[in-house]
Amino acid sequence: MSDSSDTAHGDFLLCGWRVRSELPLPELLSWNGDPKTPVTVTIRSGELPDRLENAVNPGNHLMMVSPDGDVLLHIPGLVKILVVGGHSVTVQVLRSGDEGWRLFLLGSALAYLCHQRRLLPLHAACLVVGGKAIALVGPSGYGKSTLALALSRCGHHLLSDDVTVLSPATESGAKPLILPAYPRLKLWRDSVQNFGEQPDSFRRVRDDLDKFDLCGLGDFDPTPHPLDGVMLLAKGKKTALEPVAKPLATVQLFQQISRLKTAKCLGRQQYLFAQCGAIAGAVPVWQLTRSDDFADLPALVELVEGRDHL
Amino acid sequence: MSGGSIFWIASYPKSGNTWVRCLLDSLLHGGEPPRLDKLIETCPNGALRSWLEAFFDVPCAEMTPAEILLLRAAVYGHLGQAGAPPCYIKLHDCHDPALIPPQASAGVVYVLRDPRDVAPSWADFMGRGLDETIGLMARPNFTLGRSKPRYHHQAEQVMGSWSENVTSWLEQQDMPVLLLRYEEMMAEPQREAARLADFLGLKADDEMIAKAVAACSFDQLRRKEEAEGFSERPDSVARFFRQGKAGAWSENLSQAQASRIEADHGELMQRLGYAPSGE
Repeated sequence: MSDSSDTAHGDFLLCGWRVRSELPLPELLSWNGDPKTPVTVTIRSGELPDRLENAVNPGNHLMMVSPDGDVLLHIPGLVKILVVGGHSVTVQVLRSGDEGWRLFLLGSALAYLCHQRRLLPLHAACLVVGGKAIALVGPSGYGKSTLALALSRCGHHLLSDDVTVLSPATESGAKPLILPAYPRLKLWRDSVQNFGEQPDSFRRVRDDLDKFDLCGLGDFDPTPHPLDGVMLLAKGKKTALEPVAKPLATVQLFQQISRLKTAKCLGRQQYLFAQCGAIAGAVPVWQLTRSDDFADLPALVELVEGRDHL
Repeated sequence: MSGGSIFWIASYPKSGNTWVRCLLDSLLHGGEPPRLDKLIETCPNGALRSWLEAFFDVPCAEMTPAEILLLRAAVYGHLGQAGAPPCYIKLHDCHDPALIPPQASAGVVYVLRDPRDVAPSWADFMGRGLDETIGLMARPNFTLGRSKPRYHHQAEQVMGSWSENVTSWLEQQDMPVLLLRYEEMMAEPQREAARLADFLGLKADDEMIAKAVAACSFDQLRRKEEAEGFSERPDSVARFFRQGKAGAWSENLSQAQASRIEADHGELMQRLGYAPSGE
């Protein structure tokens, strides 16, 4: 594990926001923008309750949403995180020495911030391929990060891994804007080995997991980009890229919204569905079918790079 | 202590768990053919990550085994609270009260099969050698999914050895047990399905049970898989419903392999009435 104590806490860049944190966030870039820019998100350390009063989802004691739209996440034995108003985050680390809590801050809590700010967080990696920003959308285990690294190694800039944050367009038919998150790719051991890298030369994302943080390997571009296309990852025996019609694309995008149940508790369901429809109407959506065989990766990269699709 | 609403369908792998889930689905739907694509709803695998995640909308792909255990126990505790409608969950884990909250449990259907028949079926399913599989079946505290070098759609499960798995469920005192033997389900399917319905408190008369049994015969399940596919079949095997025989081990195992299983699990096998190959 990297020693976080030598990381200066302070102001960081996340999705274009100026984030001020009391806690070390070594995954994020330091904020180097205009010093007069107001702080968008504040992250503090503090004691948190086990429950939220009058939660709108009383059956759920791990993710609670208050009537005001505050969200409390509890990962038993690891961390509690409270996200308020799209700008304030409080973290109570329950197990000192385990930095795994940041996975939930930069994953779930980031998604809560987005939902509170009426942004759209997708389960997607995102890259600029030949000048066009493409989101690779799919659930865990569908090879987003592996394909993202393969593309990154071909010189394409990484915008995000795991969660891609979209700022919906305000005009009908316009493209949403991608707000790049942070320069990190997380890959499992066999995937890292496939790229000829030594997994153990990287930091494990958790001490008990064979998954590694390839921070710094990808070439990260923090500039917001308009989204040019979406590829919905699917598993199959053969590699293929096929267009998806708008109604199906809308539903499939909606299903890949990060922390969708939380968004529903926040009353965002219709809004998000409409935004997915708007995206499917504004940019082309394909299904990218991939096999589990690493040998097919170059063909997959070629398909994504295929200029005639863009 | 049991007072919850979860009936566990527990077993060591390849012991007839899916068969029981098919019967359950059929019995819950008037004896209609089981809906293979809906088994995940009728009786989900309690270690399936996507199911666990959807429950509280908490991601678990990057949880440690200890955290997943707490998450699983929380999901089960919530699902099985007193007064909730009955539900059915498939497990291959050993019984562990830290994982399986007694207060959430109504009972367990434990599906048992001769370990000599389990070995070839499981070896085929995993794409591993028979000797290696026999070794895994004897390994104390064997954990499915540990040290996976890639994402796995199931959370790790402490299955123990075959003996540990069987003993943990049959000897626990937290909830009532219905022991279903694969061999008896083959020989007396109507009687065993009736025992299942009775234990689960399902309203099923003889006619409906007969209908369910016919719809869940091995040939029917195999035909159904061929026609519709089965999402629980791993890509590495041609079919999920493979042989459907009891006692075929004498054709599938060498004498040395059978003897090794008997040496590993002999005491428990004897207690359960699985006679050694020499007798």
